[in-house]
Amino acid sequence: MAHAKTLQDILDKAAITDVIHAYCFHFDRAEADEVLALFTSDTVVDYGPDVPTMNGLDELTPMVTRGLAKFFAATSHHISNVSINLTAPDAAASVSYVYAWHRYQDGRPTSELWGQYHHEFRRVSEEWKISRLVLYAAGTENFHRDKMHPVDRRAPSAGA
Amino acid sequence: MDRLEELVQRQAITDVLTDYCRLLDRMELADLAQLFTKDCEVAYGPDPRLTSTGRAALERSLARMWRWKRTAHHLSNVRVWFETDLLATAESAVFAWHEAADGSHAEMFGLYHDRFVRDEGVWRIARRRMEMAGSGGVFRVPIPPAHRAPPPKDWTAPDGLDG
Repeated sequence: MAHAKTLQDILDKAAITDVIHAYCFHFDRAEADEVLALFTSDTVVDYGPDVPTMNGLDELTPMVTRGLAKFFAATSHHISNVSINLTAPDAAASVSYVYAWHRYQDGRPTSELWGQYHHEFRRVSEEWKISRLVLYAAGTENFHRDKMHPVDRRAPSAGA
Repeated sequence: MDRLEELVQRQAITDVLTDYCRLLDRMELADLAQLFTKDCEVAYGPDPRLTSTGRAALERSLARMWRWKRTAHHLSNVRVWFETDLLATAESAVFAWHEAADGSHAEMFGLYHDRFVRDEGVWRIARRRMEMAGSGGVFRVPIPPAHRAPPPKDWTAPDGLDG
């Protein structure tokens, strides 16, 4: 019984990791429908304070569709440091790191982002879907948004 | 250790490696030190400022990272070898981005070589050595170069491949 639970946890974490990778894969191929299929219908997506938080697929769809068709010329998203917490039988939360490189259709300089995705997932009809996504940035170079949610960093203590 | 158990323990060790990166980027150094054994030996390079023995000394030494305004340590290529149920060796690659006080950026491509010990069910790093494949920007920390085999004596560079 303990063995079966362990195995199920490993399978769930592998499936969730696949969703995080699939988001990047389809985003970089500008496949909007495939990106959107990874989210729950009531998903909440927050790319930072410069963009209104999107509530539900109805609000996310135009943003992703327009961004991939009209704004980015090429992107490359690299995921690492995937850390997944299975919070309930059909729910999970994760933090993963992303290094993202972007080229733009309007010819502005290419940009880089060193950030983190904070995801929440829900299992819907046997499939893990993104129910929440918040993007945090440690830093950027030439990025198309000025303000980002910062990755928390503790200040030095008085003695340090 | 059966194969399923090995998968579970491999994941536990990978979690320690990613927790290290997250806690270093957040500068939660007291929590970070708990990922190491009490008597850990850590050397990011031969320079005494990069070397420490024991958790408390590691925490004090890593306070040097506050000289950067922000950092992001992206970990990949994790490999783990088990010697026993309680001893393992791990290697991982890190792409570390650093932002200096003046806003300039420095990047480093490194390798962590770790010795893991499992005590009361918890994997901790007992020994860490670091090597560096290369760096960019203003990164000038003396981390030793990673091993790279030299070309054979009769090797010559192909014409026209300059990048």
